[in-house]
Formats: sequence, C-alpha cells, structure tokens
Amino acid sequence: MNNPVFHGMSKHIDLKYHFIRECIERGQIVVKRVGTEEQKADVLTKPMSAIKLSVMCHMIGVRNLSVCQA
Amino acid sequence: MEPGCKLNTNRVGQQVNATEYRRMIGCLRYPLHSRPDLSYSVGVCSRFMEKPTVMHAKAVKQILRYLKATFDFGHVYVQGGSADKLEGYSDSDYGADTVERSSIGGMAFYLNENLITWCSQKQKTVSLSSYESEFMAATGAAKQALWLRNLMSESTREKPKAMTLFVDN
Repeated sequence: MNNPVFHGMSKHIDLKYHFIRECIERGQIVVKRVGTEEQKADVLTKPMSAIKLSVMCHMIGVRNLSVCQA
Repeated sequence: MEPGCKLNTNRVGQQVNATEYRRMIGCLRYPLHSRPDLSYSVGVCSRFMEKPTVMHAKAVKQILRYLKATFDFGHVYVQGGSADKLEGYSDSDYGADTVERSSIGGMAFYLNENLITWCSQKQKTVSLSSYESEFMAATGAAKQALWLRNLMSESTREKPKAMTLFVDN
C-alpha cells in the first residue's frame, strides 16, 4: 500500500474513472455497449486479415473512389 | 499488417538503412490524414525508427503494397440525415505492445454516420487488465467527445445534447 509507484498509478486511474462517471452523471455522455461486429474503432487497435480489413474499411466509410465516381 | 504480426526491438536481426526507413515512415504519415485504415499499422511501424531491422522493413513494405493496391480509396461523406447525430466509438487492445507491454487505444467519432475524427495511440500507462485499458481508452474518447459536443453547440448555437459513446467491454 505504501509503494509510491503503485499508489501513483492507482490514483491516476481513479481520477480517470471518476471523470467519465461525472460526465455520465451530468448527462453529457451516454455510454452504450457495442459488439465486436459493429465496433467501428476496431480497425484502429489491431492488425486484421485482408477480408476483415476490407469489411471494416467499408464500415468506417473508406471506399474506392474510382468506383464511386463511375 | 497481417494478424499476429508482432514487431519488437529485434536486436539480432540484420539492420537496414535507418534514414531510408525514416523517410518511408515520414511519407506514409501524409496519407494518414485521409486513411484511418492505415493509422494502426503506420503507428506501430513508426515506433522502431531508431534501429530498424529487416523485420520492420518488411512490415513497411507490406503497407506500401497495400497502399498501391488501394490507391483510389478515400472517405465518402454522405449528405442528408440529421446534422446533430454525434456518436463515438472507443476500443483498446490490451498488452499489444510487445516492447513495453502497454495497450493500444483507438477512438472514432461519427457525425451523422460520417467519420470526422479518429485516433490510434499507444497508452502511456501500463494497464493491469483489459478492462482497465478499455476504460482508459473510453476516458480518452470521453474527453474528445466533450470537446466535440461543445464545438457543435457553438457552431449550431443550440443547447448541447448528450452524446453516445460505444464501448465494447
């Protein structure tokens, strides 16, 4: 408990934890659960196979512009 | 990048020309402004600019190949719909960085189903559980969400509404 490193780290997380909770309490943010299939930030955090990447690209709105213009 | 591709500070691998590697990364950072699908892989590769080896050069080359094949890709913004539908997504990959064991957090914000801002970052604090890294990513997204929400209300001169944040844990 007296380990300063551990204390500093847990304190830091505590502050963050309270911040998002305050935002929810004030009604500024509504947090909802989303499944992996609809998670649009997935492509920003992990490497993906070619097929999954093309699906994700379509989902986040990155399209082939030469096809769109034709 | 291939799934399961883990880059590390490979000290035994054969070194490549560091200047050339840095130049390639520098060039790759330009398309990041319009290509969110690249931001993860380029972000990972740019962590090894100090001593790049063959392993890192291969990963960069794969990104270049992907870029060549998807040269015409870009954002599509769709017109119509309600202009004030603001949604955020946050996600994290626990312990993704093999060097420092820190997690990678990502967030994306959509205004009326159109992607407006995104970010993929290595978290500064080492988290002890996936919940913790997910939480830290969500808090980062919440900060960005508050700013965007205020910006929206400033530009539309309407009272700010509650914004939805999607978290997958």
